[in-house]
Amino acid sequence: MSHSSAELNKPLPAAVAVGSARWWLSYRRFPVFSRAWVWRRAALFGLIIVLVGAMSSLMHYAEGSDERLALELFAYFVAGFLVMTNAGPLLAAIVRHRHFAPVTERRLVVAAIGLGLVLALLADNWSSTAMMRLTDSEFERTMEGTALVINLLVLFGLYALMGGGLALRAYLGEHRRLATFESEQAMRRLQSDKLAADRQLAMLQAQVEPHFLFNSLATIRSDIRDQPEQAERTLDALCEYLRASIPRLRPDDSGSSSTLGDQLEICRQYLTVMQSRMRVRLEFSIDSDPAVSKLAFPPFILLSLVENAIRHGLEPSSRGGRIDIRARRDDQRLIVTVADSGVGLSGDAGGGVGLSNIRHQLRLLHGDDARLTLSGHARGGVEASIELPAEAASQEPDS
Amino acid sequence: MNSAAVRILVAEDESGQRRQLIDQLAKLWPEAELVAECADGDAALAALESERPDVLFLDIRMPGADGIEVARAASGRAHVVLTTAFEQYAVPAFEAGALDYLLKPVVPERLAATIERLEQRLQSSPPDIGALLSALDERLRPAAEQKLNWITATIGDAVKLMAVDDVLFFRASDKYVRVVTADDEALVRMSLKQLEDRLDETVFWRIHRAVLARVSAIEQFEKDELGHWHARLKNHPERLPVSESARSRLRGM
Repeated sequence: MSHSSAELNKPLPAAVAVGSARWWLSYRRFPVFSRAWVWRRAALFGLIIVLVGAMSSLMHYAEGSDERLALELFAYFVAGFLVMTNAGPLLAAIVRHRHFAPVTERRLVVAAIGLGLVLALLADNWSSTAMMRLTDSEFERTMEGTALVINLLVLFGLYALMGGGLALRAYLGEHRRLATFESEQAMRRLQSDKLAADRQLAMLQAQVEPHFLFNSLATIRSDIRDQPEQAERTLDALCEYLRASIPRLRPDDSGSSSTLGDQLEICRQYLTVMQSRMRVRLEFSIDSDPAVSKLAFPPFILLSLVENAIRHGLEPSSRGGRIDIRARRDDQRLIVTVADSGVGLSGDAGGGVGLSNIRHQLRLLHGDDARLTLSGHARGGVEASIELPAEAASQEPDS
Repeated sequence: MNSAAVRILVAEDESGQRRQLIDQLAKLWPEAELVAECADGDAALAALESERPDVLFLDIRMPGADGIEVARAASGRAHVVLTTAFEQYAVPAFEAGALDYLLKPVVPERLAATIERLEQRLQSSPPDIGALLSALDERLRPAAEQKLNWITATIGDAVKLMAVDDVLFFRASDKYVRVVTADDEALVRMSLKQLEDRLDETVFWRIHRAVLARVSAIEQFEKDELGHWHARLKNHPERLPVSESARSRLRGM
């Protein structure tokens, strides 16, 4: 990942920047050792140095030093610390803006920070000596052995901290953080593309099944003469069902704002048609309180469960049974169950592509926040239950 | 053929459509005699034996034995007409000619043509349609069902479907295989071999004679005091045995 100069001076995505992004730490939002980063950091550190320097000089002034001396002390203090804190980062910034190959750049940046350390040492020595001369204080400089080593180590640590040592670590990790961030972004993009594709697929699968359509028409045809009212009812329900299902296939209405109420209505029309076909072999009930019907519910999932219940539960059974759909809200959760009294789950394992699609769609929409569970009795009957966060349906289809 | 009436059987699970087909047959084929009216495949199989029909009108999708199973039982003994609402997959099998089919809703013109063909066919003995039915059956059964997505586990009186996507490992014990997810487990009566054949081999690995584990759930392999290798899982406390051969296979993967 190589940045152009313009890019180097642009803020990083929040996930890549190190630490909190309060306004006074705003330099951290920029690529480490970019010009923007160096200036903002220098401004912050400079402000602190000026404040501390001013306080120290004021104290000397209060203790009786004259103005000129206090000012000189202040100047040395500020100059020394400014060099100490900025030399390394400044050199590193010059390197970064030259756009070397990544490995070369990293080596040169490390070297720049090292050189900065040396400069910091010199600057500190220079300003401390000057300040001691001005204040006539004697500093015990005759340390030996361990004490000297420890002292040097402490000094070195201090310079490293002030002179961009921490930033160096952030810099070396920036590449990785940026790469991680970008791959996560790509992943998210892919997932949302996939979600859109999956929705499309679900809608295509939810296309009125020809089998269902022609069987229903056959039933209407057979009822027209002997039971015209029954035929009329079936035809009306079929029309409603088709009206509710077909517009969803248009690309401008991706069904993203579908509500539970819509979905229950499609199921009701579907079951009404099925009831006129299966007659006494099918009874059904839909039980939901009006408050939940405004909640968002992904399209076609519920119908798919009801179709499953008919196809694998009741149709294979000569005596038929019932389907009961219940929707309720439990605090922040919406729970919808489709229970049938059909032949039940059989065999030890199954393909269940339709069910896997539902699970998959729920996962893409809600992650681990939604679940599909299926349970049944050995004697027969299956209960499918979908649990997801209770959210109001959005008016606008999401992009 | 001229002396005895043609004996027909009608099997259709939806009563409205069944009555409609019977009415139309009565009108268009007065010489035929309805000997059995069945609401499911099992009744049709029974009537095939007891009533010895000459022609069967069978819905493909029915409770109990489906239309294809009944047709197979009738192969070589009676002529068969299958009824279906949608023929997308079925057409090639039908075009072979030995089998006739009716599209729902059944329209009189089409039924009349079918009856005409049947009357010709009745001159000769019913053909063997076993092979044709097998081909048809294959077309009607989606191939995707072969991949395992759900495990049906029996827990006492209850049955539960567990998504294969949630399963961490399968571990054989005695006659059963334990199916274990992060927060649940159950027993199924399938062999590990059967499971292995229908699972994605890039997702589940046979790490031991008795263990099929989800690769992505394995945290690390470790050796115990006795020098045996185990797999530790990310979301489950159980340590799984790892066979020597599996370990050498997994090394470097």
